[in-house]
Order: sequence, then structure tokens, then C-alpha cells
Amino acid sequence: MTSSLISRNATLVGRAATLTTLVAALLAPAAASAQTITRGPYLQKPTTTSIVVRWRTDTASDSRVEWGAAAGSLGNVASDATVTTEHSIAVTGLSPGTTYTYAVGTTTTRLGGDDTDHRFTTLPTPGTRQPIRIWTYGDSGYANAAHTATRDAYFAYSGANPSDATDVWLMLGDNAYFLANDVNYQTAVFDFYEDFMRREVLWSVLGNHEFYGGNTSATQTGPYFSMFDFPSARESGTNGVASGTEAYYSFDYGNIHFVILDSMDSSRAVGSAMLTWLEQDLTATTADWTIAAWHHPPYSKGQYHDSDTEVNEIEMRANVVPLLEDYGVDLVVSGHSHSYERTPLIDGHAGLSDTLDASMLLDTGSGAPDTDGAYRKADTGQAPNQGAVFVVAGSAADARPFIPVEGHRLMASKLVSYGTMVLEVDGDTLEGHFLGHEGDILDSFRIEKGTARCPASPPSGCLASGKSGLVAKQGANDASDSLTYRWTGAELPAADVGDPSAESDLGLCVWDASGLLVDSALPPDAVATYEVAALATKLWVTDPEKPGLFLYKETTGAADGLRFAKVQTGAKGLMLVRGKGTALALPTSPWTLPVTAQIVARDTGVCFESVFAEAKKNDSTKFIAKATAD
Amino acid sequence: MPRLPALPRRSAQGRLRHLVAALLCAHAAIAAAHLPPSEQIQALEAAQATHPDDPELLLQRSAIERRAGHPKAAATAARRALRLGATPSRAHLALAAALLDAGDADQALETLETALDQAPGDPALTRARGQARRARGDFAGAARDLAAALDLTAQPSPDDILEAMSVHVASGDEKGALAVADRVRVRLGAVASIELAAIRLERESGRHAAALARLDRLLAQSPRHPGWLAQRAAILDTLDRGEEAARSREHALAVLRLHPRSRHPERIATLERELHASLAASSPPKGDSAP
Repeated sequence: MTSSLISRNATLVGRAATLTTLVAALLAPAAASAQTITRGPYLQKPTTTSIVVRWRTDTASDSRVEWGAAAGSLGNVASDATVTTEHSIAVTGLSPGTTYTYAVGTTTTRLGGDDTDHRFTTLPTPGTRQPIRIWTYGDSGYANAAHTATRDAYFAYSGANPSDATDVWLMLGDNAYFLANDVNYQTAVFDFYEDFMRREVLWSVLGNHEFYGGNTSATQTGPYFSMFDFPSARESGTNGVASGTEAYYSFDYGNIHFVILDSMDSSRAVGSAMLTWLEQDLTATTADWTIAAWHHPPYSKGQYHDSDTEVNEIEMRANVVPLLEDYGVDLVVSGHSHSYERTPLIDGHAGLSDTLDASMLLDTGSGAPDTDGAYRKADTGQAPNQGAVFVVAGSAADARPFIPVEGHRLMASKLVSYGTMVLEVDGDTLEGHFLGHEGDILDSFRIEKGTARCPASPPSGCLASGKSGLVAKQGANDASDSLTYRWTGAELPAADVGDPSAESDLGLCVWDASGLLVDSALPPDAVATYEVAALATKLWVTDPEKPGLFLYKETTGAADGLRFAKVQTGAKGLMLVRGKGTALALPTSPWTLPVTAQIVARDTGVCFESVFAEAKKNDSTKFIAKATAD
Repeated sequence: MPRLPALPRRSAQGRLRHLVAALLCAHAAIAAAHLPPSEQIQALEAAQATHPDDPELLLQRSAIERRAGHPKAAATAARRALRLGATPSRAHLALAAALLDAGDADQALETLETALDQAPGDPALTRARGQARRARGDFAGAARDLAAALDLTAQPSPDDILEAMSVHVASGDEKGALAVADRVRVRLGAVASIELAAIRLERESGRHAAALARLDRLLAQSPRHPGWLAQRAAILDTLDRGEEAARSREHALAVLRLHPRSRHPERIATLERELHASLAASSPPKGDSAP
């Protein structure tokens, strides 16, 4: 047919240009001439070694994804012969935390990609401590001016390449109004974020409008469940357990464990499948941070949505929040109310708002590091009942006043303003910023973990030494500074120390007459980062033939900060800690006498103290002092 | 960047008028969903005044009346929707749900039988019939329906699976409950909420080896789960496999040692104490070893 058509048309005078075009089209692979991508490509269900690439076309064809390390060198191919308009290819065999360039198309034709606009990044290995940025917000379902402004404000905040600056993108439900059906999603999500979605995985929770759009958690059917792939079988992380449903699930990004719950259409009752799974999941995780997300906020006085009266909010607060707090949740993000509401660091507020009492407020400040100071959680990792911050970020596309106008009494910050939430996690620090639609940061807070650190002046009540010594040497640079403190000559009860080999929680504090000089501690993850199979390599050493002796020695070569400890309990007690390097932050000497040194066992709360009223040497190179009890 | 217009402020009446206007649009009944139930009902009444014969509005009305705790009004709206041409399966389902809420399981069952005659194999109707049968005390019939509904659903929810299992147990068919768990595991994999229920059933029935096999499937997913390791030890004790039990407990304690005690929730601290106590109880006293 092709040749006859060309032959017939070749005889027509004055249609040469048309003919040329036609011939070119006909000689090209058949699918390429007509097929158009109408959705995506977009990225789903990343793991450390795989990712799902999806796209929709106007006509059906088979599917192919090519990928490689950089544009122009896509040497890998995955394809599916199924003829469809809904294309979904699982790309496997990837490396953790690695960015790849990709292209999509049919087995004969590339439809798009192989450029810097088409890239994906696999998940980092769970537990990896690296700076992580999370962009999260709810109720963004209008493709309106407000949503455009909040989106563009974040893109401006993130610099030239927002997707490179974003690690986790999480929508908090009501992602498309009113019915959250396929057409609404096309407008409010896929068209609205077309470029961003080519490079950034979209995670999501179910909102009430998703439910109105014909989605149902009971059968995992409806447009929401069709267009997204979430890890129901623990694919995206090794910290949790399989939920068995995409309505609620968990995943890990670096040192963060994300728990995504369904506050709309799954049972929220104690003993329900979701809560049973949640407890098992929280028991299994060993991540440094736990962030939970669901749509209906446990604390809110947003217009139309009062957490004292709506059953979803009440049940999530009464049944889910206490469980999360028991397992040390750090942050809960929700939407539903079209406003911004953010609590201080709280714990144990499961009742109605009038049951709030002072004991539930673990820190009444704003959490802003430059004013009230950061919220501090003493322990790293899961820190049960040490407080969490609850955020309502439901004003990405619509903002409405509180009812009553003064809002919820619990909040440290409440704003009727368009905006989105930006979370920055780095090691043991989490910062939250509410980014307004004009690009201003309208609220900020910080949570610091593992901050059972030294107070501004020496606390009283410590166990005094019989003999002690303190040596601080100023090196040629900060990296060669060193410090040694020895506490001995007195009884050291085993119960006062606990089990340092399990806790790795000894801290060292040194003050002089002018204030705190040294605030250091053994790395709390020195134990936690090792797998069971590798327990023999852990840094603490004990000897059954030498009861009461605990020895810690850093052997990885990263000799920075407090890296050596020796503890001997019993009648002839000994505590010795030694540190080196920049992380000690050793102030220059001479120091102002008297100098006080304390070792603190964080789990027992017992401290071991020496006061040095005199110094053998106290100049710009060294501080050397010994003390003997009277 | 241009400033957005100031936020409009409306009184409650203004909001209602706004919503009534919105409700005149197709599907706009959903807009009322952000209001409390009483206001949602008012808004729907206003919309129905203009569109009294809209079956979609009536089904919305039925759903809202149910949420508001008015099952009789919900049933009335569903019946009217059915008469006015609503999709029969949806209308029957709404009517049956309202009747069940009202405590009329017989009528609900009759409604669902009629609906299933017209739409045999409909999973939602089948599940609802199972719930109606359970409400009437027909646990065996309920178990059959709920299991069938699961088989008809490509990706059933863990809640529905647990419901089917519990109804099987109520009907005295524990093996049926376990069969439900096994059938869904083929599709969903080992899901903790389901498998733990199955393990409890196996243990209560004395099938400890089967319980162990289920637990090992879970542990294959999360080998460091201290609670599962502890439960594994308890099962191994029952099977007189004391050495393996001790190893499982030591493994659990090793996992717990990965995290400092101060980070343990109380229930994990309790677990740790129990593990230590069990290990101590199972260890032979010093000097009492066999010659």
C-alpha cells in the first residue's frame, strides 16, 4: 500500500511538498507518526535498585524504556510487548542512590527523553545519613493561581534545578478536586507538574476527595490506585514490614522511615489491619527519623474541619497518635484543613482540645533556632515519647480562615496563607519551613536529636573522683586538637553506668569559670549501624573474664570527636575518655580556673565529676591539671 | 511574583448559598462534603429542591444521612434513588447498608439477594450480603460470601481479609479462616496483620509447626523483627526445640542491643525483660552441666 500510494501521488503536479512530507512519514516507523505521550513519563515505586517508569499515550503500542548513566549513552533497555496506552516498565538492576537518564517509547520508536529533563534517582541505601529535602503539602487539587504560586515559590527556593534539590515529594491527599478522578488528576497533577514528574517520584496519601472520585481502599480500585504504584510489599526500604495494600504503606529514604496512613477509607480502630501493621512496622524500623503522613489532621481548627468533631481526626488522634508516640515518631504531616497549623513539641495529647495540659507540651517555644531555640530530643533514633511536631499543610491551592478565628490553642504557629512545607533532614537535625506563595519563609522550626548534651553550667550531684586528670592539647590546627579526661580512685557502681556497650551514650562536658568549653559524646550510632551478622565488629569490647570492663575504640580511621573510652566498674572504678579533632570544638586555652569536667552516662543520668582548682599547665598550647579528693 | 487576591470571607449563610449554587452543577454535591453532616444535608436539600429527581443527589443524601446517624432517612433516599433510575447495584448497596445500620438485617438480605440476582458475582454486593448474613447470625453463610467477595476482588484490603477470617472462626471453621489467609497470600504476599492472626489461630489449635512456618515467612521479610523472633522462640519451646528457641531469643536480644535501651518503647522494654527471663530460665544452673 505504501508504494502504490507514493506512486499515485508522485504523478500529481503541485503537491511535491505534501508528497515529501507524506513519504517521510510513511518511511518512519508506523507508531511514531501518530503516537503522542498524553501523560508523563512519571516515576513510581523507587527502590535502591529499581524504579517504575510510567506514561500514557493516545494510541496503544508496546513499551520500552532505555536508560544509562548520561544523556547520549543509554545502553540499557527494558520492554513489554503488551499493547496498551498505559505504559509501565520496571527498570531493574540499578545502583543505590544513583541518577540515570532515560527515554521512553515503543520497541521501534523513541517518544521522548535521553536528555536532562528525563532522569531518575534510585533510593539511597536505608540508613544512609545525607542531607535530605522533602517537599510536602496537601489539598493542592486546583490548577489555579494559588497553586501555581506555591509551586513556583518552591521551584525558586530550590534553585535552577528543583528536582535535583528534592529528594522526597509527598502530596497529602485531595490532590485533585473535586472528584479526584482521572480527568481531575490530569489537570491538577500530571499537566501541572509535567516537567517535575519526569524526574521526581510522587508519593501520596489518600484524601477524602480521592474517596469521592471512586477510589476505594477495600478493593484498591479507582483512578488513584490505577495511576500510582506504592510499595505494599516493603519494596522501598528494608526497615518496615509489608502492609499488603497501597492504601497505607511505608518506605525509607536514607535515615528516614516514612509511614503513610489511610485516614479516610481504612479502619482506624485499635486492632484493625492498619494499626496492627503499623505497630509491626514501627517495631521493625531502626531508622533515625520517623515521619508519618495522613490526610486528616489530629489537631486542627480549620474551616470545615475541626479535630474535636470530625470522626476521622478523632480516631487518628486517639488510636494512631499514641502508638506512633510510643515508637518515637518525630513529625506528623497532614492536610485537609486549608490552612497552616503547627504544634510545638508535644506528647500524649490524645483527647479533645480542652484536655490539653502543660504536661503534654514538652517544649512550649516556637522551635525556631534563632529565637526560642530548637526542639531537642535527648536520644537519637526512635525516642519514645520524647515529643513530635504535628503540621497541617493544606493550603497549597486554597487558604481559609480558622473557626474560631483564633484557631487551635495548641499551635506554635497558625497561618491562613498559601504555602507548602519544606523539610530538611541532615543527620540528627530536622528543619521545617513553611514556604509561602511569595517565596517567604513564614514559619520555621528545628528538631535536634541526640541532644542530651551539656548544660551551660555544671549540674550538681555528680559522683566525685578520688583522683583525676584532664589534659587538653592545642594542635597546629583544629584537626590535631586532643583531650583526655580520667576519673578514678573511687567506687564506680555498675548500676550507675548501665551497659555502655549497648548504649554507647557517654558524654563529656568541660566548663571553666566563664562557661561551657567542651560538649562532646560518643557517636550514638556506633552500635546501631551494625547488622546482627556483623556484631563482632562493633566498637565496644567486653571480656567475660574481666567483668565490669568496657572498652570502646574507634577503629574505622574517622578519628574525630570522642573516640576512645574505658570504663571499669567496681571498687576501683575508672572512667577514661579521649577525643581528637575538629568535632571536639576545643576552645583555645588558657582557661579560667576552676575547670570542671564531667562524664555523663545518659541512660542512667549519673554523672562523674572532677573539679580542677589549679592547673599544672595552662597556656596557649596545653591545659594540664590533676586533682585529688581531700 | 504577583500577589494573589485576598481571601474571600463568607458567613455561614453565605457559605451555604455559595454551596447551593455550586450544587446546581454536575457532581457538585461533593462540594458539600467539607461541611458538617447537618450542613451537608441542608445543602443537599437545597439542591434537591431544584433537582428533586436526581438519583445521584439521592444517593449522596443516603450516604450523608448514614454518616449523620440517620439510617431510616438514608434508606428512604436510597429507595427513591432506586425508583428514579439510579444504577441498581449502587442503590441496592446503599439501601442494604442503611437497613443494616437500622438493624433490619432481614430486609437488607432480601435487598441484596434481589441485587445479586441482577448482578451475580458483584464483589461489593457479595460482601454486603455476607455482612447481612453475619448480622442475622448466619456465620457459615457469611463466611462463604465474604470469602467469595475476596476471591472476586483483585486486591482485597487487609481489613476485609481479617473480617472474613473472623467470621469463619465465628462459624467454627478455623481451617476455612486459615484457607482465606493462604489464598490471599498468593496474591498479596505475607502481610503481617493477616499472618499474625493466622499464627494465633494455628497456635490456639495446637498446630505449632504450621504457626512456625507462617512466622518464618514473615521473618524472611524482616529478619530483624524482635517481636517475631521472640514469638518464634516461644513456638520452638512448644515444639521442644529449646536450643533453637534460645538462639532465636539471643538473636532478638542482639537486635534490641542495636538500639540503646533509652530508645525502647515500654512494650519493647517489656519484651527485652521477658527474653532475658526466658533465657535465664532455660539455662542450666552453673556447675550443673552433664558430666
